Amino acid sequence: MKQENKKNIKLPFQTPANYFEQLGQLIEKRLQGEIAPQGLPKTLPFNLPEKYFEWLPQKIMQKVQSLRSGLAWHQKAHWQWTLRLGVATMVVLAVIWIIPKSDTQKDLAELKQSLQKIDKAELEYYLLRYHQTYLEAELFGKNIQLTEMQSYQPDSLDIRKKDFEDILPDEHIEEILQQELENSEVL
Amino acid sequence: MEDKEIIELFKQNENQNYAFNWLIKKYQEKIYWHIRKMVISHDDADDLTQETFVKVWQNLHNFQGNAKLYTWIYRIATNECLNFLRRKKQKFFLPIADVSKELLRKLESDTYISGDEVAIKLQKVLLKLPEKQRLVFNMKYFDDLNYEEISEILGTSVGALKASYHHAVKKIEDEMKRGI
Repeated sequence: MKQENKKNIKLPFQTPANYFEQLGQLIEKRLQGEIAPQGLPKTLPFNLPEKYFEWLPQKIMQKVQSLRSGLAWHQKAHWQWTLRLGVATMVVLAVIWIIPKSDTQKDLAELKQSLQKIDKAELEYYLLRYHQTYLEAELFGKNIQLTEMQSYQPDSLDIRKKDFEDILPDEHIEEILQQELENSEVL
Repeated sequence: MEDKEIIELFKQNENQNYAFNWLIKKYQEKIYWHIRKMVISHDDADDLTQETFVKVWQNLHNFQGNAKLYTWIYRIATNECLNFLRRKKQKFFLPIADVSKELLRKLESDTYISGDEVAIKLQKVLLKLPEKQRLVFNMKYFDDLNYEEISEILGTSVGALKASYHHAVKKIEDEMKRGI
């Protein structure tokens, strides 16, 4: 039953029946947070597969066991991983440095031995004769124009520059090239 | 078996499996239903329940006992649910409303849904609430947890929880009156 506004001031509003009698209780409930929705079910509309809760512990234990037996690689002690990483690094370093180095050293020793067998005079004669020939061949044996000679790089010689430099230092090459250019201009 | 006993047994290596089995049997139903109400589908709830207990197993050694064991497990389960829903949003770039729609679809199509129309209607209304409000309502109304326990689980003040629950109840009542 609706209640009428009893005050002299006329308002067009009404309240639900017994509103003010219940208001105190309502506020108290709200403060306690114990307000309950009216007429709602506490049941859930969800079903389960048969014997689900009988199987669930077994499924969880299996997961846990597999986790434990593999003791997840990432859970192994820190020191074990540090040790493994150290060993792996050493193996890699051995492959990269030690093994090829021992081969190179062996090759060098063999080379030294065979060089020692060659007569020194013969070696000097060979080096002088052939390196000069190479230079001459490069500068005059080919059809190189004078203008091109300015920019000609000894790197393009058909020999390794390193071998060349061991016998004739850079300044010597420059001198020879300069001389050859001057001679050509005179000619 | 009391929680304290379970934890002590678990910490002795030879009894670990026995203790953990006890713990699962003691809490599996509560945890499963808590998760199921949040994710609706049985398969998702099954996955998340298993994942929750695996995490419990991984961390039980470090459990200090400052909180009650079951609120601690509830907290892990709640985080699993929220992460699951967050992943869904990120995966499909969905706003929260669309995740709710997906859950609504599951409510209508999942194999393991009963024909209780009023209960389904209530779940549909609950899916319209923000996740945290839904959590609070579920724990208070269905699980009968008190505010102190919910506060421990969610890390929210009791006052805020009361307000949240009150808003949830009002919205639910309005929606139920209006129909869907």
